[in-house]
Amino acid sequence: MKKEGKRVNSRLDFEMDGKILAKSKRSQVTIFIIIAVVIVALVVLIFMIYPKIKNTTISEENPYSFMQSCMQDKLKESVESVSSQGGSVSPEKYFLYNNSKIDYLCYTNEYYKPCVVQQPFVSSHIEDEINNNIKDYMNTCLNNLQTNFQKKGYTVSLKKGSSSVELLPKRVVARTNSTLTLTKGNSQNYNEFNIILNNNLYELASIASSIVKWETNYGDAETTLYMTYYKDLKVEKYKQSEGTKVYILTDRNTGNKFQFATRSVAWPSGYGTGETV
Amino acid sequence: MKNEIRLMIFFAIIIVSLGYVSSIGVSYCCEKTTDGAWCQSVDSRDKCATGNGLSAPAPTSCESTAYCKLGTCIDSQKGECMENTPQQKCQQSGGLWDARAPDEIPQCRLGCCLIGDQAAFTTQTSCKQLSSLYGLETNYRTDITNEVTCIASATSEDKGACVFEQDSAKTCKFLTQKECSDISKQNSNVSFHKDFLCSAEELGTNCGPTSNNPKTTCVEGEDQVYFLDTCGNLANIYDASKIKDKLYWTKIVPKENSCGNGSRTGNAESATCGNCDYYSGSTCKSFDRQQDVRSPQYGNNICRDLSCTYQNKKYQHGETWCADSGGVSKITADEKGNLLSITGQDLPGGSYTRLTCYNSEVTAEPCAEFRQEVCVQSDLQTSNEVFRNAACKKNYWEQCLNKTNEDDCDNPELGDCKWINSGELKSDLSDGDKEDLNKIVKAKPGQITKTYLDNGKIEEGINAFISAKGALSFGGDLNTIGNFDEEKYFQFVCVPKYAPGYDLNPKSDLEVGKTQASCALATSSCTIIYSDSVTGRTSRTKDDCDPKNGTCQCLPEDGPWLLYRANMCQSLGDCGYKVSYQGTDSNQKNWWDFIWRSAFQDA
Repeated sequence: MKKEGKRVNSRLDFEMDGKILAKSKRSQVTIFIIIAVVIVALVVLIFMIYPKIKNTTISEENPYSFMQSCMQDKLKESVESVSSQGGSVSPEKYFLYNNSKIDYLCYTNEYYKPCVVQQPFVSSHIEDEINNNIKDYMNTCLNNLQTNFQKKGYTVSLKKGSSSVELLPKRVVARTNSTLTLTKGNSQNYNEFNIILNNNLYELASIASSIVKWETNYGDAETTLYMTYYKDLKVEKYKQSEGTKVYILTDRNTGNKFQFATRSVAWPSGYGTGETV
Repeated sequence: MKNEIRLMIFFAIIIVSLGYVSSIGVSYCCEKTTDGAWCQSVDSRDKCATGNGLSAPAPTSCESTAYCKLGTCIDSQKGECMENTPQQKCQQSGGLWDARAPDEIPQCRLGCCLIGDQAAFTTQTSCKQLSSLYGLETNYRTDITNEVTCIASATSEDKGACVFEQDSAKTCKFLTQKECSDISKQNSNVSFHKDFLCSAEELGTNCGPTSNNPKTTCVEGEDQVYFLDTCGNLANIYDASKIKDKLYWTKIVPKENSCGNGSRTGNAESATCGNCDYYSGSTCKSFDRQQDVRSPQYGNNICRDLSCTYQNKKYQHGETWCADSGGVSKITADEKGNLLSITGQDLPGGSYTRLTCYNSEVTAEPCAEFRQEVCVQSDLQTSNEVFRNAACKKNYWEQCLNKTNEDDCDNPELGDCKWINSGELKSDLSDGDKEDLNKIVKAKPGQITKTYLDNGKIEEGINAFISAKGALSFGGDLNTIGNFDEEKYFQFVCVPKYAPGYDLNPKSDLEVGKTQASCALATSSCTIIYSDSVTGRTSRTKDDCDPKNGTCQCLPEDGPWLLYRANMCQSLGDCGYKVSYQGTDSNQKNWWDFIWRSAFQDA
């Protein structure tokens, strides 16, 4: 093993095509460190990607999970959109606040007068708006569900039903009463697909409704009363120059928000005499 | 009417009103406007949306139409009732419309809905709805007629140790009696021990105190920090002195008998006691080095201090106060709302803001713009500290100009007005009275008495005026004139106590006209003479004066007219000379410069 002209030491040299790859102990250590870093990076990468892999796996095996997985982002996006726009996907009578169209839940264009309620049932209106916004996507997800199981060799029978959205305490539930039958040897039935999103919109919409009652009766609402009653609630009220008030309700724990506008018992500037805006 | 000012005010109001009447003309009721609002009164039928089954616009008020008649809209399924809802909109939303007020409609009557340890003041249908949502039995009480009593009646159900066998071991869960009986449906050997904790030694379960390594937790809906037993069940409120106390780990101790009960701060930031209280300014939170000043002695939860620090000042949780935002007065009132003091001045662009401190966070809540609302603060003195309370209050200034006597003007129930000297001498003042007045005003201390006049007839009056002017020019105010029976000599007028603001960017000519007309209420004229302060020469012409050098003075003949007039002018709104809320003036240096410019422009 000893080579002439070479200094003998304890290093382990690797030879390839006559070239010595490692010249010293230090270079060996460097290689080991590089290998270790690569391994750690791979592990981190796997852990980062794993949840997505896991989701895909689950969604492919269970129709309910498939629907939850397929719909949850759309439902979340829709809920956040209506929450920031006074409960409507496309507000008609709105106030532009920080580049966001905020629907009026109670409005009068006159000065000195209490507002006229524009949305008598805030929760029901929100449910309808979200449902209208997601139902096409729900249909697409049902089609994907069908295709997915057909590819896996199942005979799939899908009866599409209507969809609905319900605001419930601490959650929003999107529902379709479709029926899915999967047959591969034996048959399995799946009825009513529920997509659940953890969100406090039910609670926030109830507070909004209460504020609207105050606005229409007294022309204003006292924000501190709500914050005293509801410990995790933050109520902000921003009065605008032409009499509009923008309310922002925030759940301090979850960060969920609901914002809406009102215009009630507004006063003109200076010696204004009561014309409309 | 002898009083010229009141006559002028009267005509100004008539002019403004005529402008208004001509501007509104006929109004129409739109079932829906083109911009999407329901049931609005508009000045042109073109603003009403048509088609889609909408009613044609009616040239009448909305109250007179069937489609926009307001009433209560009822959701009979959810038990919700919303007042002031248009009939058509209600029906379109699937509701039942009723012309009566909610308290006259049986379905809308409110009662107390007790669900578990929660309470809601709601309708009976809504109570049933809540029952199904939460899966809990409800108790609907119609005898409770207000929300505060309802919330106070919420009581927690009896809880205790639910002992049962699991995997051949005797274990325990801290539950309500009903929850425990649910377990007994699947397990034959279940016993409920009311008021006992699972850590009670005498129950002989595998659950015990975490005395050696105490663990604590926060509970949703509750303020306090609780101990946990070895099985993860809730125990009593965290009290560092009781970790080895067997009795404390045996039976439930109510919070009234727990550590630090009644603490003024709700045991905020206490390392040893977890009896937090939201209303006193603390609540259970996971310990955070960034937010908490000290760590708990045991466990990882603490009574978080909910107070705020704002501009290096500490405010308690729940306090509200008026922002020192500049350009607005500081208004204080007593606990009953009676006005105590007004300091400062309302300046153009100045707007009131209320600040609130809740959950360690300060939030700014602007009052209505243009000082249509003012912020009034009242400080409640407790045993050793002050609790601030502020509110944005409507500025009732509109009727001030119509009031013609002091009693009506000063009556706080009739508006936010003040009775002030208009600066105009009474028209029936005798020469003797004028001489008396000049002597009074001249005799006041702090005046500039060194004047050089060559007109003997008006010497006294000019002297008095220069005194007043000098005071104003050098930062003084009306107080330098001192007290005397002003009403004997001067006409008084009722003006807003808190000067309203004007939109500095008016959107229409009508608005500009209104603003000008309202400021013009203070317009008046007096004879001026020109006096060179260097040479002392006076004349009724400006030939010898150079206003740019500041050597000339405007000297009206009727006493301290300008000071009073300026005060009246400023009280009417954003009129006359005022610096902006940011402290900048446009071109004028002060009232005098303002008058000078006006005088020279007019000349």
